[in-house]
Amino acid sequence: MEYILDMQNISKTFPGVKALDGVQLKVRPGEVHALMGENGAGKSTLMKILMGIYTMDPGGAITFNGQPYVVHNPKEAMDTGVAMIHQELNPILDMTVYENIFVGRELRKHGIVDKKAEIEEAKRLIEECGLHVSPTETLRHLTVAQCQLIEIIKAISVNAKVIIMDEPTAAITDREVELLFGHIRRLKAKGVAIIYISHRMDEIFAICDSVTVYRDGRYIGCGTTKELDEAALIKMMVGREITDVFPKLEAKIGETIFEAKHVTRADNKVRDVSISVKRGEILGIGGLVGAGRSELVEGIFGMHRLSGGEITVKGKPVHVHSPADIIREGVALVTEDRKVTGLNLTGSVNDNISMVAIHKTLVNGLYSKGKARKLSQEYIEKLNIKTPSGDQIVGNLSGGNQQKVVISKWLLNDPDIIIMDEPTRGIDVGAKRDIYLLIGSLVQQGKAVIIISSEIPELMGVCDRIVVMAEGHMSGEMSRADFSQESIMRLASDIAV
Amino acid sequence: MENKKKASSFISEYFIFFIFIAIVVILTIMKPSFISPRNLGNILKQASINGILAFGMMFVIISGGFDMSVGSTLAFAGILAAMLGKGQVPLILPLIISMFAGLCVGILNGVGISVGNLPAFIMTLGTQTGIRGLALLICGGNPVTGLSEGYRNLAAGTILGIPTLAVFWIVVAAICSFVATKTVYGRRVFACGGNIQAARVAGINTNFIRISTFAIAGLLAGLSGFLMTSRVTIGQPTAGESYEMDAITACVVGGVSMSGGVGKPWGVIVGTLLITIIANGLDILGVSAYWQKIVKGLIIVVAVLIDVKGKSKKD
Repeated sequence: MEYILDMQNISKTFPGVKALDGVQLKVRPGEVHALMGENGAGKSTLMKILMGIYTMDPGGAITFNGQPYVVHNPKEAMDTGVAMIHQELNPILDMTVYENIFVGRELRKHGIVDKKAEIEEAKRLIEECGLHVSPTETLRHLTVAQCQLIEIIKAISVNAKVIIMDEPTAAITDREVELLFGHIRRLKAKGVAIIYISHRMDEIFAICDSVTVYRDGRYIGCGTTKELDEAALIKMMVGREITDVFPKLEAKIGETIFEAKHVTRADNKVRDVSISVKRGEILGIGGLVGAGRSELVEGIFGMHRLSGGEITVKGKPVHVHSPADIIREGVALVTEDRKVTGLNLTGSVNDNISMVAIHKTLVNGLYSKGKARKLSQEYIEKLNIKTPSGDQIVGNLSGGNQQKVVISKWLLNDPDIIIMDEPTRGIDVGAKRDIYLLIGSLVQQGKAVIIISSEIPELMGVCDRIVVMAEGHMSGEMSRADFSQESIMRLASDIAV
Repeated sequence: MENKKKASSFISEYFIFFIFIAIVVILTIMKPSFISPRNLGNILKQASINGILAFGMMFVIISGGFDMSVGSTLAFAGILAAMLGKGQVPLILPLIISMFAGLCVGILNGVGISVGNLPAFIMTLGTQTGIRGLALLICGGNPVTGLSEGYRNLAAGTILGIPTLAVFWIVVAAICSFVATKTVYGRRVFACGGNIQAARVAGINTNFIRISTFAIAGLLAGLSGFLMTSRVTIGQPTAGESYEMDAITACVVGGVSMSGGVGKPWGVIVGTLLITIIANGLDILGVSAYWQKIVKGLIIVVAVLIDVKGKSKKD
């Protein structure tokens, strides 16, 4: 038996949409198999079919471990040997580690929960994983990475032969990614196959053995990571060649328009950090997750109290008590989590775009729907937002298009300084490129842009200057000529040079 | 540091218990008769029906729901029990019928919410109004009188010196505590309220869990109706108005989180007793019913405030 999992000719039709059109996936035991494709390519749909959440159209066939594979719900899938670690699925925070591991398949003795056996078994599994947490700790007290490892432990403990990992590194730090990879290698050695979904190229080449690529619900190709390179993969995914992953437009750098000196947050998450940016300049803020980058910009933006620091916008000192104070001065912040702090997900595209610069939609002092629609239409075209209309509910758009809506909302307010926190997280290659080009055109207009990113290649590709943070303070700064992956990494982990 | 953390989490976990003790002490000092066996018996009697309703509510809230209809269900079941509990009919018959009626209302709520995808608030607000109407309809709006002597005496009696009502409450509390903390079912109720998506993906039949928690609330509301009729010795179609609020208050004060997934049975018991002794104590002290309402309102807000504060710290 060459393949542990063999999915052939899988189709899935939703009312009006063919999400999958005769695709295939073949996974060998003990390999890490990457699934790649832009958002909407059909990866999640395929995985949901595998987990029994969706039923495939007739005509397809799935063979697992040499047997025909038919499951109707996630529990049956797990019982058969397929487990999934969901990207957006939060664990049950108010439950303990052992309760989370055994949720849905509790150990019992005389019909009641055998708490003792669960705790012991959980302890064994946790130790096997090299994790140092107590089985009776509540998940609310663990880090995101620890919670994720608990999910992995859960998957291992059902004796899964195939584990699906959907964007497992989306919320964890680089150091934790290494830990995760260690666990993946251990699983591989045991003969467990991993289906790995990620947008991050470096990870694909670091951990995966083979890749299957989908585009618009169709199977495009499959190969090993040894015989493919990044350019070839991107071409398969987008269907055209993108020679320049990080396009950089030339802009004239002018005078300093934004300065934040000695910023210290009241909760001490940021200590004595000074940054400044000039017209036409793109400043990057690098560092590990948790280094205080988002905390810095949120502090500057008035979302958290500062205990010290001076903020100067266009030469004028600004006292920031709330975001409104600094928005008035022409600063915008595209926050890290668009779903929580960026968008009104149940509102329309028009509603969202006019959220900040609502004064522009007024006619005789009253909100004018027509004017809002006209203004938002302008940005839908300018930023190439793919939406049936401005009345579409934002929650229904893809990640990349949602991000463009957030950016439009700020641009309508005509800011001079735009801060973007992880602007390309979780969005696909095509939309990423659109955003890089947009940033380029903004600085060409003489605006200044500050970008926070965890992807070092992205920072190096788009920025003129990079400031690196570690553990709440600034650990270094470099200009474009001196960029190197190693020195940024070194500063990020704050090892003295 | 570790010890300090443990101590503070111990205090926050048993906070409501300390408050309870403190209020008992204060009331006893202000009015020694508060602690008399006679008044304690009274308190138990006053607390029992709300205590039983609160346990049903506990399951619903922990699973992530909310039930506005238990007061009406109580009245409806109470009327049915009164209509049946006449003459020589054995008491078991009105008991079973009223619990069955409550169960049906609960299942109706659960199906509407989990299968029909209605917000719990709307669905149970609908049944609250509708079932109250049904209660009024079957008795023509008039109280049902003429209960058998055995039925009338049930709630007034004692078993081994404990008021019969309280015995019912104790039995319900024991069963519910066991189910919530020891059984697989109980664990799954917590899982549903903690994160319904995660529970579904873990293979838990979340629809069944949600329906069943409303069924439990309905069943216990039916039982409460049966007891209520005995307590007031007539079937009142207007009985139990705003009792759902008392049940919710008992849960919330007892540390059951309105966002689901968190709660302890002993907390619900303390919560029920706490609001009862405050009402009872204010009564003894001669405080007007209007002031009592104000105090009750404050307690709800403060209890939830503590709950919210405690949670946000951990995030």
